[in-house]
Amino acid sequence: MIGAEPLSSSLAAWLAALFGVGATWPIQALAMLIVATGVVALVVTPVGLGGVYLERKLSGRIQNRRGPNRVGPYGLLQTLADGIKLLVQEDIVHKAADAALFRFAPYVVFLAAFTGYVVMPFAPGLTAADLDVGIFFFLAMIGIETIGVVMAGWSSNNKWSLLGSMREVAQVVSYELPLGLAAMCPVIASGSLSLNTITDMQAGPIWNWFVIRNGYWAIVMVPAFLIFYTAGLAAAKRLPFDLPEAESELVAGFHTEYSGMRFGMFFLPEYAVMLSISGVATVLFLGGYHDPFGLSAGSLAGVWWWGLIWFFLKTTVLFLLQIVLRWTLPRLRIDQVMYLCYKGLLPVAMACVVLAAVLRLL
Amino acid sequence: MTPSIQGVALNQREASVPALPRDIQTEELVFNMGPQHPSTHGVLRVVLRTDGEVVLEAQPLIGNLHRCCEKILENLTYVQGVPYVDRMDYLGSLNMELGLVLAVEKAAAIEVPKRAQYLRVILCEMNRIASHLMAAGQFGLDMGAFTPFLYMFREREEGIRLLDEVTGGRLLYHYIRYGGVTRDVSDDWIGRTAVWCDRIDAHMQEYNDLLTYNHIFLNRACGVAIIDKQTALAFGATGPILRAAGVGRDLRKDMPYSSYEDFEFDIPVGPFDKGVVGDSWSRYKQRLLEMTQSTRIIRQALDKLPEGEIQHKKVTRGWKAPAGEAYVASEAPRGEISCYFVSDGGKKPYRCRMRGPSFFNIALLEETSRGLLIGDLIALMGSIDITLGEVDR
Amino acid sequence: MSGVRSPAEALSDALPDAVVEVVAEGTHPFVRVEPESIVEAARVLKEQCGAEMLHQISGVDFEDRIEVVYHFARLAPDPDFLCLKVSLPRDDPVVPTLAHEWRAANWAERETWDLLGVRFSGHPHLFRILLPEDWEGHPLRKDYAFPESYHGIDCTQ
Repeated sequence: MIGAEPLSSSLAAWLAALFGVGATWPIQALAMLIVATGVVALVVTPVGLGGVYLERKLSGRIQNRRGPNRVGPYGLLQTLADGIKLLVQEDIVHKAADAALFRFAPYVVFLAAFTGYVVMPFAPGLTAADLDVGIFFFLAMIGIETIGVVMAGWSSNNKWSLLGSMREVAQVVSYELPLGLAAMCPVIASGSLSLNTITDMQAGPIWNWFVIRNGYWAIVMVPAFLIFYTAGLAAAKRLPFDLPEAESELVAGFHTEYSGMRFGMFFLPEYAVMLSISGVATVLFLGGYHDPFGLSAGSLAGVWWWGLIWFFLKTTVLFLLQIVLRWTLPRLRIDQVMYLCYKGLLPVAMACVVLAAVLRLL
Repeated sequence: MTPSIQGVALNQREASVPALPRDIQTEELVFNMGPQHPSTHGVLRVVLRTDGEVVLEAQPLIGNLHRCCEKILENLTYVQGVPYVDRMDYLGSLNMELGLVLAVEKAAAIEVPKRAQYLRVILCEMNRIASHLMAAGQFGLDMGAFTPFLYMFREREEGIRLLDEVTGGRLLYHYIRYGGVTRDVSDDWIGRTAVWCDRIDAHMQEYNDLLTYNHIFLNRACGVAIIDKQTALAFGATGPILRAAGVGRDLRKDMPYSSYEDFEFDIPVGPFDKGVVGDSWSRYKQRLLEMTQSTRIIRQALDKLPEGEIQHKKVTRGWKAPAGEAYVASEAPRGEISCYFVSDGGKKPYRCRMRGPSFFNIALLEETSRGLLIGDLIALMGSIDITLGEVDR
Repeated sequence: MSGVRSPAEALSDALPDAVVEVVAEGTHPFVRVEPESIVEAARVLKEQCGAEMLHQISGVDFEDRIEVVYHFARLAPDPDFLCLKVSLPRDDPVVPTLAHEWRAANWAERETWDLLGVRFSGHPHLFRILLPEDWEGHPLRKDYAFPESYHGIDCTQ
């Protein structure tokens, strides 16, 4: 079994040695806090600057234009400039809004989106917390984001925001079903909910990855992967499922009334969820941080930078695919979104789970 | 307090949607799709009464762009008045100018030289293509497809540049005058316009691949918001709406003006290969097919462009039209524009009653929107394709 | 042409008392009818002259009268525009509405009311359409006086 101790355990041990006490729960909690903060801080930067920049450049090129190229070389500092702009914008909390909920909602969304990163195995040993129920925790975090969106839509005291948030609830809560079921297939194949264990089971060259494992698993895993990815698009509110914030229908949906950094707190989690869905899809189906040649199981076992490179490579491919899909496809109507979920993805996902169980028993 | 629109309480108006089966008591929402909204294509206010996502009633409230065009035309001389009709349908300005100018020319019996007529045809068809590119792209944008809009604008930009070269304006031209047109075109321009027409035809396939036959787009637009033949005729809706509903009416063929009878072209009439006759997709497809026909007309006109002068009679500042009246209609991109022109022999027109096609088209919104989802309402508004300038004048 | 008659013919036969004036030649042929009979006249045009669509309703303000001009479109055969005119007194111009039979008339008549002050009796919803509800006066009248201010906004510029 290739893997290393999750970061928080190592840090807890180091802190315990530093303070000369046993590695009891306060030390472990402190360690987890530090690691979680570090993950968030180190993840916000690439997600924020890189993801947004990538989207704008790529969408520009798809649309026969260049994308940002003025601020910094090749427009690299554009997102920074946008962030500064958002920070200095006037923070408007309009009179008719429910002030407490209005202020609190972005934080819920932000929290939910970024907490999902603490269970993600970026590289051997680079997991913030190796929870036994990793994938379950991740799916739960996606669900909590909905609460923040509903709070935002309701507290804005704006019927269009309300409509957007109602659509969001309908969409995300519905799509959690195929998302969870599709995620169950790798869980059944590996026998564990922990993302680290799932990654470990995919160690080796490309035919060990769950998506095409041993050849015959592909009949379950390929549909499961596609369902997970599609349902993940819906959970991330990306086109073709971007009804909650459909610009041409609802002005800006549930975050119409937000300006300045409050809006930034909605904007950034969108990219965070995009990236985390891509990351979890990579972990579940595409082998996590293992390279396709099998070196991470052999000669480069436990080398953190090798795993990190491959993890981010695969995640970025899925991320770019999300961007391309957004700028190519039109938007689905809400009843079509529901139809696709309940009559399209859900039955197939259930069939995949049953088939996965059968294959596992064989 | 019962919500009201224009002084009439909402619940007194005819609500012909039958009571929806309910097991939970829900409230109706009265929304304001305000004058500022990304998909109302201008300053149109629509007051929606919905039950969740189902629209029970959508009442368009117009007048936000009313600029008293007709009153202004009565107070200015003939030459001064033409730019004001440009601003009616600002996306198809040349067609608007033609609408006014034809009526005055008929009443005053002004003859237009052949070269000027052909130039009018060429530029009006180019304007029609530009307008349809905008309309089709905007419809895609409302449906969430951001990219085809920009691809269509790529072609539109080139066409606008050609128009700019001849007329001096990109969007508002003031090119068609009484008795002819202002400026002549060069042979070089003719060559480049022909190349542009070829580009439009070549890129049709791209638009079809990306948007028209996209599965999601078909689901959003086929069978959605059907405006059938009887409704369209009853409301006086003309143009692509009427043609997509199956009525083969096009004033360029039925009552030709400005030498349209010299050209060979077809009128695309619904039903088309997908969707139902009169649905949003048919209206969208009709515009795309019409663009191909427009390029046919332009090419023929460029080939056969006769020599001659471009303005027969110089209508000067103090020109007085003889007393009389005329009613002439022409085919604008969004429908039939007409002018009822009355002259009393003075320096200024006595009455120029302009018919903006979108004025009659938008009245359909109230009728057709009952029972639609909000997403379908957006499809309806996008496919009707109105320009508030000619609704409000 | 086959099957359709000219408006002058059809109206002289069907409603001889209602026809006031017929101009059949020139740039703009029309039939002037009595205001009360406009609905029947429109029906005659629909049944006998092939008018399928109400194209435009215009109001023209003359010194001694206000004219309401209706243009109907005949689509086929022989596409053409058929015109009916109605003369109304300037003081209190009232004419029956076409909105019940020709739905295009609903908004067109509202506009004529809004800008010229012609009342259409029986109209389901005769309110201003282009101008704000609380606007005073009818701008397209020749004797219209522009207001000094509207809700505190200066109109004299």
